[in-house]
This record gives sequence, C-alpha cells and structure tokens, in this order.
Amino acid sequence: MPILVSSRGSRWRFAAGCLLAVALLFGLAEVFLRLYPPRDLHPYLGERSPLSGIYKPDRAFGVTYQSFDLFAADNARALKPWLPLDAPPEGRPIWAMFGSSFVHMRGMLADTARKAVADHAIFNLGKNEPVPIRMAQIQLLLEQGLKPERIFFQIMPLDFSGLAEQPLATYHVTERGALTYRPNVPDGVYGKWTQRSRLALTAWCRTGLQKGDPFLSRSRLTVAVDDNLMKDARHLFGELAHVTHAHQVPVTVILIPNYEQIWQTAPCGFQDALTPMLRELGLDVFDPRNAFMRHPDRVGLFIPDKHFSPAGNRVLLAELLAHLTGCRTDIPVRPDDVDTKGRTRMSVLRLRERQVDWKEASPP
Amino acid sequence: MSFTDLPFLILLATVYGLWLCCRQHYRLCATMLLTSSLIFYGYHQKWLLALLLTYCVVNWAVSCWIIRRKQPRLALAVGVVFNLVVLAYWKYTPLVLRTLAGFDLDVPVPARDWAIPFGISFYAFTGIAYMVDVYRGITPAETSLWRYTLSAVFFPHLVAGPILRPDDFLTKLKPETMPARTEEPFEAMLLLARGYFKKTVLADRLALAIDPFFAHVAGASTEGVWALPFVYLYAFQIYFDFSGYTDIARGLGLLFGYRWPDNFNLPYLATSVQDFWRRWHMTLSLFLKDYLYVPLGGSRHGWWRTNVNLMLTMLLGGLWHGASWSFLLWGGIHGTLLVGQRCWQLCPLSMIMRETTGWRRCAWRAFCIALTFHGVCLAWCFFRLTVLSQSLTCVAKWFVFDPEKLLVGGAADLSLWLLLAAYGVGVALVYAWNAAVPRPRLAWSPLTRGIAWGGCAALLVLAAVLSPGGEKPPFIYFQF
Repeated sequence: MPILVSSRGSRWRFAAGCLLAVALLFGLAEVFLRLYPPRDLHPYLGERSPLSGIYKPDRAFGVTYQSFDLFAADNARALKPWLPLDAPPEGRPIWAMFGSSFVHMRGMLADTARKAVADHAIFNLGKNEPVPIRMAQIQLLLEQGLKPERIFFQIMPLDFSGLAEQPLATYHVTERGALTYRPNVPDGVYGKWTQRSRLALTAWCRTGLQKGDPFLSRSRLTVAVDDNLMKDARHLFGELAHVTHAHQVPVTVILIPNYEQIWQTAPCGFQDALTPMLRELGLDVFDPRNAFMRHPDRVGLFIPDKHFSPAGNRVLLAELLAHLTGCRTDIPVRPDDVDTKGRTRMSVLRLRERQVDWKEASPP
Repeated sequence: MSFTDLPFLILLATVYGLWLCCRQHYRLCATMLLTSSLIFYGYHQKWLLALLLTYCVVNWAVSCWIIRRKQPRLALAVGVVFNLVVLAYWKYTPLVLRTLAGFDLDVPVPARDWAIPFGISFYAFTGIAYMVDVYRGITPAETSLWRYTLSAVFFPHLVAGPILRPDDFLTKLKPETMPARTEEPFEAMLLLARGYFKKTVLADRLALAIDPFFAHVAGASTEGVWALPFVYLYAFQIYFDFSGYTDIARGLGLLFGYRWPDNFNLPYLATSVQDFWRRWHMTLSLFLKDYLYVPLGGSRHGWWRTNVNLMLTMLLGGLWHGASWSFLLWGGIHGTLLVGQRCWQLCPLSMIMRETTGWRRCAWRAFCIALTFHGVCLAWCFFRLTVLSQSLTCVAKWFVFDPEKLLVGGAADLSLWLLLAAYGVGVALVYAWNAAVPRPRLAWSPLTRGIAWGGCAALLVLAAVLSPGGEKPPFIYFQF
C-alpha cells in the first residue's frame, strides 16, 4: 500500500487517520499503564507506587525502619538467637558483621569466622540490603542494646553502584513505607509531560535517563569515585561513625577487592578514594588487596560466580585477624581494655597466638 | 546479534539506507547484503563465520557435483552426511557423552560452557533441502558461490527461519530477478510492528512471570501450586516469541523486496494435532513432510506403516529441536497424539460428530480446540523442562488443587491475562474487518490508510515502551 496520497484533502484525511490510530492506541496504553505499571517503573512513581515496605525517611541515612518490631519481623530468623539484644548468648564477645553476599552467603566471611574464631560470637543478618539500610540496621541494633565488641562493615565497588545510580538526594520513602526514587526528568515540555502521562514516564524510564546517574558504568567505580558519590559516602560514613562513637563500638570497614582488581585488570581507585576519608572520620580501614593480588593461586581464590572460595575466605579472615592484631583502637571503649601502647586488649590478640583450625573452618 | 539488540537496529538502519542507495547496482548490493549478514552472524563470535562459510562452500560444491550427473546419489549422500555429522557433533555431543557417562563408561565430560552455534539447525536444513531439490531436479544448481552464500546467510532468516526453499529466495537473487524496491511497505511495517510487539511486550512479560515457577518446579517453594496456568502462559510465550521472530524476519524480507512464507496460522485454534502441525512452524512441518515423512514411505504403505512413519518423523523432529531426551519425548507425545487421532478417525462416533450441524457442531469444535490445546500443552511441559523428573512433576501439578495456590506468582498477574485478552480481541477485530471489507488495500480510503499506518507506527513505539524493561530474554528458538 503506497504511503503517498494524491490531493491535499486526501493528505489531511490520511494524517487524521494516523492521528486517530495513534491517539487510540496510546490512550489504551496510558490506561493500561495507570492500572498496571511495569515493575521497573514502580520505584519511580513516588506516592503512586504500588510498592509498600517497612521504611521511613531518615535524616542521617536517608531511610530507616519504621520500628524495631518491623525490622525484627523482617529479620526474624537471623535475630531469633540474639533476642533480647542486651543479653548476648553464651556470654562471648560479639563481632557484628554487615555487608554483601561476600559476608552473608553460606561459606563466606561470616560463616568462616563463625567456625574459625571460636571465642567470639558472630552476629550477621544474612541478607543483602542497600548500603544506607545496612547502616540504619546498625543504628537500630545498637539503640536496642546490642553490644558488639566490634562492627565489621564490608563494602566493595559493586555495593556502591546502587548509591551511585540513585544518590541520597533522590531517595523518597513513601507513606506506604517503600523506598522509591525521584526520577531525573528533563526540563521543559517533556519533563512536564512525564509528570502527567504514565506513557511518557515509561518511555523516559526505558531510556534509563531517569536514574540519578544514568551513565554510570560499574567498572568506572574501580577507577575513581566521583564527587557526588564521595559526598554521599562521606555523609553516610560520618553518620555511622557518629552513631557507633556514641555507643562506643569500634568499626572496621572491610574494603574487599573485586575479581577484576585482584587480577589487576581494574585499578583500585575505589579503595584509594575511600580509605583516607574513612580514616579521617575515625573508622578503622582494612584493605586486603595485596594479600589477594600476591597470592600464588589466584584462580583458587574464587568459585565460578566470582565469590570467594573457601581458600579465598581463609585468606580474607587470616588477613583480617592479622590486621586486628595491630589495630589501634578507634575509640577508648573501656579504659581497662587499652594497654599502655594504646592497643585494644581484645581476645583477638590471643587468636593470633593460637592456631586457628582451618580444617574446621572449611565449609562442608 | 538478536533482532532486539541495539547494535542490530543500528546495523539494520545502516544496511537499509545503503540498500536504498545501491539497489540498482547488482554487484554492490549483493556484496553489501552478504557482508552485513556476516557481520550479523559473527558479531559476538567470529569463529562461527568459519563454520557457516564451510557449510556454504560444501553445499554449493556438492550441488555442482550433483548436476554433473556422474554420481549424483553419492554426491547427495556426501552432502547430507556432511551437514548432519557437523550438526550432530555440535548439537548432540554433550547429550551422548552425558548419557554414556550415566552408564559408568569412561568418556570425557563435555565442557560446561559448550555452546551450540546459533541457527546451525536452520542453515543445515536449508542446505539439505537445497541439495535434495537439486538432486530431484526441482531446482537448478546455483552456479555462483556468492549468490548461494547470500541466500544461505541472509540475516533476516539465518538464525531461526522461516526455513526457505530455493524457490522462496535463491531464485530471486539473480541479476534479473533481484528486487530493487521494497515489497508492500505497509505489510512490512505491520509485520515488524506486530513482531516486535509480540516479542517484547507479550513474550518477554510472560517469560518474566513464569520463569521462576519453572526454575523451581520441583522445589518446596512451588509445592501445592497449580501448574496449569503456568503451562498455558508458556504455550502463549513460545507462540509469541517464535511467531514474533518470524514476523520480524518476514517484515525484514519484505523491506528488501522478498516475500517469504508464513510460519504460523493461529495454531491454538487447531481442532486436531494434525491441524496444529499445519498451523505451527509451517515451514518445518513442510520440510519434515517433504524430506523425511515422504522418503520414509509416507502414507503409501498401509495404515500401520503410516503410523510408524508419523511417529518416526515426529521423534526426529523432536530431536532436531535440542540435545535432550525430553525433546525426543516431546516429539513422541506429538507422534502418539497424531496416531491416536488416526485411530479416533476409524471410530464410528467420529463420523457422527463430524456430520453434526448447528450449535452441536460449534460445541464439538470448541471441545476439539480445547482438547488439542491441552494435548499440545502436555507436550510443552517436556519442551520447557529438559529434566525428565521436572517435566513429570510439572504434569503431576496439573492435578494439584490447593485452593490457596490455584493462582499465585506470575499466573496471578492480572495484567498479563488482560494483555493476552486485549491481543486476542485485537486479532479478532482485524479478522472481522478483513472479512467485512474484502477490498484490496490499494482501494482503501486515505482515512483508512492513515489509520493503518498510524496503528503500525503506534504499535512499534508501544513495543519499545511497554516492554518489561531490564535484561531481555533471548528468542527461544535461537538455541535450536
């Protein structure tokens, strides 16, 4: 069927037909999208989002839990052996570990430490959450009476990609308790249109430009940390330092290198940028990159999905224990725990003196 | 490269623009189309080009050998064996080794990342069809290697068909027959819009909704869940995925001036399994009929032999789909249903039902459609799940009726059912309109033409906007 039409009247009728069909189909699509917005649009619909959750806005971390009860219900299985929080089980000192799957997953750091470091109880929630929520969890747990000897907060470049894509300034916690993000919409007519039309917003979101940093490349994070992300990181870790100092709990931030960094196909700009800032905030920083990079069997450090193998986790824990041995205290926790050289007289010191039973530490 | 990838869209725009510029210059145009097809195929894995070009050279050389008439049968045998052996090596080595390892035989374990070159079945079958047709004298052998190669590797049909006969394409690549204008631009646009809509909006949404169920079909998380709605949705997913691909391929063919056969004709409205195979993957059905069923003897040697031939054809058709015994079972189920249908046709009741009229006829027809659809769905369970125990668990869950889990997960997503219903209504309206307005499209009024073009353009935009977003599932038939 030729698209060309002969007379002027015919052309108008052709154009009218086009418009009619477009208007009809777009109208139907608009109704459909209002009734059933696609899942990837939910975080950008603000108060109209069908998402619901257990969060509320927070000045310090951008988002926190509405109440401890809701938090406890969300983490019921992991918390059960630790309740009440102010009466720790078995009376052993507690190491509280927060992080990504490199800490939580079966056989990873928390599990490895649980099996190898017998005179400490390892607290771990076993769930991946965005970085600000991990920090909100720490605040809530400390306020509810958990008294860890030390908190370990693990991060790697991948953990910060979420924060890089959606900076704190874009956070919007809805009245229904869901964490959503303010979409980055263009100025002008199209921007106004996206606020009125679900179809226009969906089309905008399909381009990916609605994100806080639409052009973020995850590999870029290993090269450098841009100013906006650095600002958010400083804010979040500053608040974390404030909270933990108030409860007199030292924090060790574990900067785990990723696979590409260990194979030296990616630089360590992320660690290099964060380390001085974290130290400035009074947090202890543990950066085991050299131990991994110089390991004689780097292949054996990983399982196929690029998480650490049992050997990789043993290296990580051994390095962490070595780091803690020489660790200066960040906070004068209890005067009698600090020796004349300013070292924390923690039981971890004794850990280095005896042999850790790695056989026992290996996961089944 | 996949039709839904951004690099493909860039390649298409470039190639079409170049084609518009150089379509009057035969050599330039053929070279450009051949080069772009090779870029399309070797985009991710360049070594695949060596395999593809070897196929082309061998098939072309064998066809030339056949027409020399010295030993045509031997030449054909060499060509067919070459195609099948290479196909079998890539496709069935892991299956054979794993099976042998299951019998405690000392065999090497295939690499976990063993990848079947995509589209190998399609271009191997196209090559076999070409050589057999040359041998039978149905089509003349192509003397130009370049022309034959272009016909075999042209990107719109290369990876997942439709399976083309020489008459469908090769004969149209000669200097005097090569088209220099787009054939039916409206139809091309309609096919592209419909194909992309089917794939990105319908098939991909369905995939996201049902994949978690099939991934954990034997797990505790799906205990008590009624499987039938998920199987229905899978039946629609594979239809929209594959027919969407075919629509896009045919639309691209029309863009460059080639009209290719359709692969689907409302298959789920089939009233019998035999009817289903006349409506589903029609070019494969015809291929299997002409190059397997008929050479086996077809229906020429009595009732029993016909049944055996049918079963063999369906079993081999099943095995063609993939390197798993479950595909063989899938073919076996279809073969059994076809034989069952032939038995039913001998029954006096079937004669009576065939001759009913009025509402009884409608009711009987509806019953037949529902029965055929469920038979096909039963077979899909073995197609979707390639581990036999999982397929059987899935079938067992057809009969699990926990009131709280009848419609859960993706099957409870009302928007999916609404989309399917809206698509069904849309198709019915188009059919009704075509029936009511049988005028040729050239005689349409400007307003009607405008509505048609506007509808296509809007559908194409909506295909992008209404897609589920995130990582896109690949075309299902790319793996075959």
